Amino acid sequence: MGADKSDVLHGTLDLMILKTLDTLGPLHGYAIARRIEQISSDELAINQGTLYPALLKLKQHGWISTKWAASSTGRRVKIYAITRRGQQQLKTEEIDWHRAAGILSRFFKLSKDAL
Amino acid sequence: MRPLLARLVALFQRRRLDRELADEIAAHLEMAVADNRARGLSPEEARRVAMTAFGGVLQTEEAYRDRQGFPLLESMWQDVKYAVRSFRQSPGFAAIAVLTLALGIGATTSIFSVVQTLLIRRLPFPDADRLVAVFATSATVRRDTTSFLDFSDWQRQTHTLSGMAAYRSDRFNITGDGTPEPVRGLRVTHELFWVLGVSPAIGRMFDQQEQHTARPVALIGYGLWTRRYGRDPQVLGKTILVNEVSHVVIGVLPPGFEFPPYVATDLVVPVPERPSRSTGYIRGIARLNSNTRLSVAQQELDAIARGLEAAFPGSNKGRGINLVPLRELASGEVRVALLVLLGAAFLVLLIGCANVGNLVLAKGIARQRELAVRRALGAGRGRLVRQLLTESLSLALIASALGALLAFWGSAFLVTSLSQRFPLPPIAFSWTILAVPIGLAALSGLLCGLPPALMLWRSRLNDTLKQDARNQSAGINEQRLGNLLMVAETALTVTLLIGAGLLLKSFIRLQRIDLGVNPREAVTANLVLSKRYLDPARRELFVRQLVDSVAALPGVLDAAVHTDPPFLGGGSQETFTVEDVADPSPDRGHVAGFDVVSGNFFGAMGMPIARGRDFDAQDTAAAPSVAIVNETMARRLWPDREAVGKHVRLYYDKDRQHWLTIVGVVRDVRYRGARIEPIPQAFVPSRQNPYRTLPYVQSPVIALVVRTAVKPATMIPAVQAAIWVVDKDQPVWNLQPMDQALWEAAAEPRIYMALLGTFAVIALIIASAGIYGLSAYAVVRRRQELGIRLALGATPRQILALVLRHGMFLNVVGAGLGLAGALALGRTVAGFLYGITATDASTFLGVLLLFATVALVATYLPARRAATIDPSLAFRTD
Repeated sequence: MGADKSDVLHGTLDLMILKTLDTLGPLHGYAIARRIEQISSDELAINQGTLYPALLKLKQHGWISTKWAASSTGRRVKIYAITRRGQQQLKTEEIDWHRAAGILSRFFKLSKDAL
Repeated sequence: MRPLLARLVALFQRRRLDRELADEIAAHLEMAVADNRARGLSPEEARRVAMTAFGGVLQTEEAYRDRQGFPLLESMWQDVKYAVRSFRQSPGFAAIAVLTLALGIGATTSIFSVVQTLLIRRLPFPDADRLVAVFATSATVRRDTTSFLDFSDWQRQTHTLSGMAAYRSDRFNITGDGTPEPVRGLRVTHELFWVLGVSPAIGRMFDQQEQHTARPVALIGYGLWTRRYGRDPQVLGKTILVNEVSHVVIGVLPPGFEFPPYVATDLVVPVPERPSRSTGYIRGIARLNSNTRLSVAQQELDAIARGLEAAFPGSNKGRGINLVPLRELASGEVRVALLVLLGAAFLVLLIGCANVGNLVLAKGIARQRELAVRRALGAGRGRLVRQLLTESLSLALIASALGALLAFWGSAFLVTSLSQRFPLPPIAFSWTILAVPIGLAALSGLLCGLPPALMLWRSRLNDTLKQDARNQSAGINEQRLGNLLMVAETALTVTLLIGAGLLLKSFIRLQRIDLGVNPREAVTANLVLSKRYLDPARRELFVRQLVDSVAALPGVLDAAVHTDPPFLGGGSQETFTVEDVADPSPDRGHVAGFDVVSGNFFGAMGMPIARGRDFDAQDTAAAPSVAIVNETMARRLWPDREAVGKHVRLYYDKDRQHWLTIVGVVRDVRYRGARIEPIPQAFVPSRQNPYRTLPYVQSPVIALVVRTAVKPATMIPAVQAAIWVVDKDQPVWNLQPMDQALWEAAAEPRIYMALLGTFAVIALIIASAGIYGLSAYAVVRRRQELGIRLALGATPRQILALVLRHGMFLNVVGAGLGLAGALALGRTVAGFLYGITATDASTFLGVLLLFATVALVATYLPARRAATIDPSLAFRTD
């Protein structure tokens, strides 16, 4: 892993998981990990292992639910799905994120113009 | 909230959740490997890449678990589990430690529960801390009664006391409607309720006018109102007979009203105002002004007393005033005793702490390497200290549970024993008292665990690791601390032993004293005779009927009556003129008790006649007057002559020729308990009506004494009934077996002795276990060194001496300090001793001998083991 890969921004892993599940529907842990790696084009320096404590936290908040099911190869895997509360949470977080990102980008623009 | 709940739930599914996570991770890795294989990697490479991408499995599991549970709690739980495991490895250690602490905690808690009730809990009056009892004092008495005129002057002149009332405790007979009922009550001034801050449940208090005119009005107690009048409000205005005088009920006392504190109060009537300064019959109760200190009020009253002394030297010479907080009055003499016992119990606890501390320390040293290794492996110093403390705290907590149980029984026993001597409120079990054992557990846990923990904190990791297994001796600091704890333990034990020894010795002395009566198989009762029996002839008839009625009961051997009996706190004294012996001073006779008794009194009491004869049927009113004196009187008046046949005369007898012939000498009796020396006493038969020529009347209180052939307690209902056959309106007090009446007099020293003795035995056991344990541990610790000495030619004797010397040196130092402690505390125990001083040499010597023996044995046993060490084995042990 290269030094130019960025660390996960604090709290953004949760958001990424929720968004993934919201878009793709129920998935098992490995699939979520792969998906996040693909979307971020392998630019994120995260261990796949860190996914699991994050999943537990989301579940404790009631934003995702779990159930055991058989995978395509017939192996018993835990499937994660976003809950209604999770979708609400995602919506709030998305708005917050956009607002924050907007403020930040405006801030950057402003400083350029002002100088 | 939700995550917290989820974590809580997870606590109970730990195993399943762990398994599921492992499953999930395995599946994850399997899929990753499969994907990598599909990308064309070799099996090994596929696995390596998958593992790298995943990161540490262990770390993931650890992070997962931290999120799932409560990390801090869990590490504490781990410590507890670790502690329990280490207790199970050395159950002997754990059992000794727990028992030691439990005994200390139990003893302290049970005594504290009584102390709390008696000395700390609020009295049931508003702002009760400002209430003070006001006593008169004389040269010899600190809590004397005062006269009404003096009281009125105090009341008028004081500015530091807001409100002062006077009271006199009394007993009354309530007769007329229903069974006669004896009640305790008060004669008071009208300010009493105002001073105490209470008001009647119904009705009103009497006023100043009613008090002045001595109107026969009464307030009845809530209890009396309930049981006798069914809480009928119509009782107000009703007329009741109090000592055969009609009184109008004007009020009912508030429920639970007890005054003085814890003394049942069922009747309140106005106190008679006697216009005299020389008859003391009342006590004061007052409320201290807010913002006034007791000492300030005391100064003011001292000045008032001096003023009265100057104005009325005839009656008030040497009279002072003494303010006593009501709370102190309520706890009385037991106060000091309780504090001494509390101190002793706390000593036991401290001894236990020192002992357990030493054990933990010894174990800690043995575990030093283990702890050092754990530190080297990354356990924080704080974490290890926490673990040591957890260990000692869990020990203490287990001990406190056991101690609370002990306290539960202990305080019940204490209350039962104490209440025989002293009015005590019931001591209800309260949860707050549980705070005591828990607090003590925390305290003792810290006391025991902190020293070894501190040792650990200060120890340098490298030093410990560098010591190899063979050189595993304690550092100089540990040794010093261990020695210090040992010395403290020894000193405290010796102090406690001496205190208990002193009490034991004086108790044995008390027990050896012959009371002079045979209290077994006898029943006593007290009667307050009504006014009908003022007439001597009627009285004598009543007494004879009473005695005959009771004596006729099956199972009764003898029945007799004593007028003005000493066992009720009566016991009049008289002055006598004695034939052939000069009066002690020109205007006084010889003082002696004056006991008017019915014919079979000595038989019923079980008082043996030493010389001469008993009263008999010939001693009638017409016959020559006779008397029997006790040994003390005979000895004092006729030291070297026979008393029988001598004559005495009552000093104030109007008939100057009324000589009494002494016909017998009876053994001394200690009515008021073994502690009180007998006084001279003269007994005269009531049939000869000794009062007929005396200028005063007989006391209305008489005692009935019944000697039974069967168990006395079983006779009580029959005796009661036999009295009522003669007079159905005659109330009866204190109808009880005589040994119970006398036992109460001796109960107090017995309780203190028993308790302090128990504490001392516990302390001795704890201390000897401690001495043994420490000495044994020292031998184990010095095994190599001793082995080397043996190998180099030391004889087993020398080794024995070496070990003994070290152990005994600590004991000697400790015992010396303990002696000093006992001497310093001597004044506190002096009040409980009888016949010996607080520095009784033989007790000190005996205790030292006892302690020396125990300490020697406890040190010798391990030392002997040391002397028989096989040097070759000693080198091999780890």
